[in-house]
Amino acid sequence: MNVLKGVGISGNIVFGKLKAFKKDFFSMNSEKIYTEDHESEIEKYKCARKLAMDQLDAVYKKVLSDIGEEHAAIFQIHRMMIEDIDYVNSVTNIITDENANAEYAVWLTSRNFEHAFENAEGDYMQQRASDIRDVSKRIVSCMSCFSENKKNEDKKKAMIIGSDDLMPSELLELNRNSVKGFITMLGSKNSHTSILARAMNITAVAGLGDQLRPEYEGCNVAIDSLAGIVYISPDKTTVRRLKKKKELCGQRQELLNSFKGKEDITLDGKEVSICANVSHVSDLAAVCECNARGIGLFRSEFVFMGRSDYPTEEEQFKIYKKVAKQMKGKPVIIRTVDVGTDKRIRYFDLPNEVNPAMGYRGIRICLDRPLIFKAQLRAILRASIFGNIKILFPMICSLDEILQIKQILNEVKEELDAKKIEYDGKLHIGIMIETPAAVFISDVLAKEVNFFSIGTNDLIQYSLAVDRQNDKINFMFNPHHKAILRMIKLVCDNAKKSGIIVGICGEVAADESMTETFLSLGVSELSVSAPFVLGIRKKVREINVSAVCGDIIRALSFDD
Amino acid sequence: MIEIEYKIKNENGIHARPAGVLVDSVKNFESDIKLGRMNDFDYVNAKKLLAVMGLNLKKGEKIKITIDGSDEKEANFVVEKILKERF
Repeated sequence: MNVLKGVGISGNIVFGKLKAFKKDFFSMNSEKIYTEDHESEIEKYKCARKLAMDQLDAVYKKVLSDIGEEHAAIFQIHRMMIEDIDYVNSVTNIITDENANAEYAVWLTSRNFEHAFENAEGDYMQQRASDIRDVSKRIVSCMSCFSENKKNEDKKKAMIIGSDDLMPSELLELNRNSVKGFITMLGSKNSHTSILARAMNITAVAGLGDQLRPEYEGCNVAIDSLAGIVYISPDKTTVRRLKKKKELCGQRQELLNSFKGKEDITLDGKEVSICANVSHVSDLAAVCECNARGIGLFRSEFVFMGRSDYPTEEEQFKIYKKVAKQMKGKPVIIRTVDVGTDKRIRYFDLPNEVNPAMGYRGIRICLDRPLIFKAQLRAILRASIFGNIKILFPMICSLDEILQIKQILNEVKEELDAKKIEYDGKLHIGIMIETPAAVFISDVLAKEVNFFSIGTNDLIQYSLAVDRQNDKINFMFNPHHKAILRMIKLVCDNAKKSGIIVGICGEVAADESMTETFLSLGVSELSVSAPFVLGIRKKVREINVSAVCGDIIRALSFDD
Repeated sequence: MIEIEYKIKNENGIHARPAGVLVDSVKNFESDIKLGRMNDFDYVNAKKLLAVMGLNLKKGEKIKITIDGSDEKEANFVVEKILKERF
């Protein structure tokens, strides 16, 4: 048995036989076959070309709806390459002038173009050559796809695909009936392929590097993506252990599924609202699936990402409207665009900063660029009549900022009134509490807004002066620190005086070991990523707040 | 005939994506649109993707684009916009 360590991408535990993904498929067709039947070779090329374009259209549409324009664009460009007149002429000329078969003509054409790109220097030349190779490979595989596909259909056995790397298009074309998972040498948690794998719920481990060796082909393999481990020829004990783990995993999911439709209420009757965070359009399906109470944090940045210019009001309106309608009256908290030099979007054209965490970011950019801010507010207001939308403003440090925001919001409302455009007049607004300043003036801020949402990541970073990216000190990033808990308590107490609610939308909200504490301090909404919603619901229903609350609050005084 | 001169600012040079955007946006104009390095006779048809990519244009290089035909004004408007945003 060999144990390989990588990065778990998605899914849980699967077993199967390892099959190498044929990257070199194309080179097998490079042999020239003499033929004078030019017409049927050209016909074969034309059919394959048409099929390849249809495939790319399908892949483009799938990626566009599942993942987004940013990742989909390359497939459109591949299609344009196939259509390119120079490429087409080259292939047909080789067929007629050299009496060659179509596969060879495509191979040679591809070689010639690759060569032209490879000769030039620069890192991105390789990329261009590989794009050409990718489309050429696709055309050739379309010529023989009927025979190839049949061969694969016969094998009903569970298969694990092993490869140096998988392209998103290749992943989409795998036979889902037989392929149980894939393992790759390259790749990371956030690559296009990984995002897609999660959306498709296919089990995968990436980043195995040299550990993954060609001689493993045909071996029995077990993938444990929860631990990021791949077992080659696992022994009986390991298989038994993994099967048990898989069963427990399934049981837990089944158990959690039984919590769908149940109320978010503690043993002593305190109502809590468990919502989901959305950072991508593709998250929406998962939010409905996990039966969340609403969207507690809609990170509107993704509407701005993967583009060359600001989205128009109309484009934004369509997205917000779609989300509001899809949630059918459940609350949707849209956070206005929160970017900075650490979360960069190119066309915002932000100057480099020495200390981005404390720089030009979040609401500061919005207040400095009112046109962009107003376009987003108009889009959100217009969408508000289609559901239950609330607006959340990030990075607040002062009362003045809120007054400015409200002023701008009123201007936008007046403009809409003048044009007789409808919006929800009672739309709630809230602010992120993520700076110590906001915590200590929360009594004043609470009088101006309808709700608070605590952003734990930034609050901890600013309060404990710890940068999580810094390996030397990231152990000090401690959500249990009494300073943090006292701040949360202060915020909740001040909110209560003004009769507004407090939610937590940072990563820590999903930490079950803190749920009791949060509820005791007075938090009444937890927003977590979709896979954690049911787990937190289960936890909430096991807690008796009035019984533990006293001890938890006493502990804040260090008198224990 | 309209002539445009431009210095490439895209960090990665003119790779598949910017080239694709250019070709896709100009292919339906009737005008003849050519693109090449300044002071170089090696101009290519801006409606052909592989030809544009094949120029291997890098950041800092100066290029010239010529647009000639009945709809050259409209084409010029589109080309200028793409240069600014993607090149």
